[in-house]
Amino acid sequence: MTHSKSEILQGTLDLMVLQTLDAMGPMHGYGIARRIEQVSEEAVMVNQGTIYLCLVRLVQKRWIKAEWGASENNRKAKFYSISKTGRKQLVAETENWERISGVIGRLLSARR
Amino acid sequence: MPTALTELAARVRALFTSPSLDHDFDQELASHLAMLEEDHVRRGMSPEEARRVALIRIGGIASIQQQHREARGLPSIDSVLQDLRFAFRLIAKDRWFSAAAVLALALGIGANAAGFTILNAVFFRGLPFERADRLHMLSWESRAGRQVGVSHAELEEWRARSRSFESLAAYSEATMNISDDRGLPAQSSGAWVTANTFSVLRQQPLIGRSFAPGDDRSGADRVVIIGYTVWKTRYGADPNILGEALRLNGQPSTIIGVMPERMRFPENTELWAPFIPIEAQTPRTERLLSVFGRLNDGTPRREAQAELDGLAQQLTAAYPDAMNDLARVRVETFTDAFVGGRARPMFMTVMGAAIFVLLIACANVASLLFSRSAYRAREIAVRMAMGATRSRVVRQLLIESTVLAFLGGGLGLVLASASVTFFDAAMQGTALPYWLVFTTDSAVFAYTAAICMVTAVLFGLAPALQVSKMSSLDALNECGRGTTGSRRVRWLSASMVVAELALTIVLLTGAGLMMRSFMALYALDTGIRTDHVKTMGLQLTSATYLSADSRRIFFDRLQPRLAAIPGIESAALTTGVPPLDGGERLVEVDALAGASRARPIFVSTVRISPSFFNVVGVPLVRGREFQDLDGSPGSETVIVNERLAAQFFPGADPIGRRLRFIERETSPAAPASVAPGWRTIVGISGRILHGSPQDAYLSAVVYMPFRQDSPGSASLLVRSALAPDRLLEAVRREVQAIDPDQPVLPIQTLDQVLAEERWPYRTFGSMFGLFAVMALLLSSMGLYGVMAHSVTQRTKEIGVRIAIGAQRRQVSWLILRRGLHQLAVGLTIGLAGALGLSHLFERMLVGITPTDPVTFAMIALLLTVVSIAACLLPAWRATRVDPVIALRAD
Repeated sequence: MTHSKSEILQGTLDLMVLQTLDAMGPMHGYGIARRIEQVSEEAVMVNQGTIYLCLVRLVQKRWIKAEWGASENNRKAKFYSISKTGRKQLVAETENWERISGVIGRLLSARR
Repeated sequence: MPTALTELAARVRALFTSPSLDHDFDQELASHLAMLEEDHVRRGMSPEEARRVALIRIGGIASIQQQHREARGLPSIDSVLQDLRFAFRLIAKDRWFSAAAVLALALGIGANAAGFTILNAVFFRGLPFERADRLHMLSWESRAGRQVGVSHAELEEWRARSRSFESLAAYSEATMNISDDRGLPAQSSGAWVTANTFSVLRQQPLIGRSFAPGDDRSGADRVVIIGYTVWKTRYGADPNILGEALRLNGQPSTIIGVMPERMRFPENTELWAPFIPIEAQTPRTERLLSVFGRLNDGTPRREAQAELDGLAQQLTAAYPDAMNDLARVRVETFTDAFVGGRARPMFMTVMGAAIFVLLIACANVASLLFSRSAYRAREIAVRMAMGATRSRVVRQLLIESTVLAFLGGGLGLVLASASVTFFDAAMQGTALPYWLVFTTDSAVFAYTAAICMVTAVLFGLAPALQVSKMSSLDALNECGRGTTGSRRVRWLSASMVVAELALTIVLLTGAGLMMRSFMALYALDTGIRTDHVKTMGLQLTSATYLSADSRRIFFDRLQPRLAAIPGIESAALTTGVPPLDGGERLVEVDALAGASRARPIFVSTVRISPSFFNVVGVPLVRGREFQDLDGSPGSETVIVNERLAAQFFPGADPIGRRLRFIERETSPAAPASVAPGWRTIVGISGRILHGSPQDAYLSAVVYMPFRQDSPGSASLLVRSALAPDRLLEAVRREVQAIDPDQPVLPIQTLDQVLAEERWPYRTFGSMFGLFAVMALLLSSMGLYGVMAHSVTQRTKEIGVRIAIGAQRRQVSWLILRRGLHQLAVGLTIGLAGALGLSHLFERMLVGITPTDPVTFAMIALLLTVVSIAACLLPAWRATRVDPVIALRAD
């Protein structure tokens, strides 16, 4: 099975969202987008709206849960939190990512 | 794959909650935008500028909404429509392939739709009443496994002590006479019912009132509710009919209501009157009521069953004598109660056969698809090279399968409704209850649609996966010939053919067994001369004939009158028109002094008037026929058949010996109560078949004189060359000369009686046979298709072989060998499967065993011949290959 470019990016974004929710606790979509932008120094996300496509996928996989709540400014917002299966998935994906990035890192350094 | 499943479930759910999810997401986006704006304002932007930047940052509201919708739901309608258009174009292009596939599927799906239409009517749809699923019948089951009614006393006890039912009602079916001043007396099927019957059913009369609580108390004024047909035909739909007086079985009664046309509960009833038990109907052993009730909402059937089991134990403790024969109480739905015993496995087997036909059709179409896969692989490879994902390709191929399945399903429904019409016609005259209607209703449509979906996946998935798996590069290079993938494809389509052959063997064997037992049944000789013999029913239901004496007097007066009708050769009365009998009873013989007593056996009993043997044209073997005095006190005589004589008196003369009936089965706990009355054997009859038509063996028969305990229900058996309607008219005149209120039931020839009794075998046997023929056609078509395809594929190879000198015989053997190989494997698996399943037929067969070697051998031979025929044409074509053309061709 081959992965298209978009599939790889999708997987990366999923991993980032899971990691963010795991580290920061429940957050709303805007918060997650801001956080990823800050950490990645605005390199990953072109459109903030993309985050919602990722969120709806993760909810359907039951890796995260969504709930309406109030934001810090007392605005109605949907809060996302990581589920138990999501945490398992995060561990697995992280290992996977580390393995791949290790391989790619070695590969690239060997070229030099 | 559980994650994939949860995801799919969520996506399907999203389809149905789309509007609320849209609203949800709008709110989420709005709050996102607001927060983004606030942040920008905080950083010093003007509100307008902040809003503009926020909209840019989020990346186009409409596009995000659309993508979100697609991400959470199923693929958009647009892309499915596109696939559909493509599928239709392809189906139109490959006309011959599509026609073969659609036809095969139409046969398979049609057989299923037809089978389900019948099953639906018989088992699922139920009675046409509000919440009919809550209506249940309560009955006893005898130790012999037969359904037994309920006595009035038991009904009263259940009513008082059962908590599971809203209320309990009961009916007792009977033929009723109506007579009045309007015309000839008529007979209709009627039911004596408890006063609450219609309220339990939740049915209202069309006009007039229903029965009121007091109507079934003893001493109440006699009232009657008439059916729509009686109202229309007898009373000309007179709107002022209420309050009209008539005589019901000779008793003055008043019409209080008319039931609507669609209400003929319980079976085909046209008259209803309150059940008021008379003295003779009060004992606990008089179990003449069919009891039913509406289960309380929320009470499951098994809870009611448990409660009634408990009550039955109490009854057994209180009345051990009355409960002696009964094994348990049954609580079941009306349809289950009606279609018990032999009919259920028949229906189930036919449905099973239909499913087999469908499986064979699926294997057939799948093997066609496999054959085409090399050709499809090239097209698919191009699409995948242009960026289509594998799942998208599989989806496209499955949509094609679905379109094929639904085209087949549509045609199948047409075939099904035609065959159901045919089935319905075959069932006419078998006295089915009025609620059994074989129609293509919404349930049948839903079932057919579901079958189409399942079928599409069944035959389409494996080929679709196979096609999409063929690596794109390979397919493009190879131009789809001599490919690595094609060996696998060949194997797959060959195994489909093997599966078809094996399934066909099983089906053919089943059909063969049914046909053979059907033929055995037809070849069965009833032993009598049926030419010119006609029969008419006569039921003395009127209150005038409550005593056996009054009935005997009626029949004594009738017989000389019948014999005197010009054109009647001879006439007799009987309770068992061959091949029927008048009931089974347990009988024992009086042992000679010193001999041990023989074990009692079950025999068929038949009451006859003296001229019976004369009418059926079977003279006695020994002894004398009944005379006018036989059956009077002091001359209790019987005639037995040879079978009984051989059983009880091997090597001895039965004439002059005595036998008697044992009313109940003996059990160690309670000694059998034995009806006294020894009866002396005066004659031995020839071979006449009595019993149920399924029992092909000749059972032991005891004939009793009609005059002894004359029954109220008799059949006139007349040998006459007169036309049936003239004969009926003449008989009616004589009957009504004795009793003007007494009607005569319609006339039948003996051949009609016989055909009516054999309908299950005729109908189910021919359905089964039809399915088997379909299966044979489908699988031979499949075999032919695969063979023909392989010849086309190997044209080049064959060309080379011929060019270097292969003989034509060798070439055709090359092709034939593969077909024979598949046939051998299919035969082996199929015969093993048929042997394994044959015990399912055990209860339906007559005269042969389920592992009948002749049937098995014939079926194997038949399939071999047909299969070889299917291989011959391709093999012959292979020998016609012109090496010059074949080698140049590409």
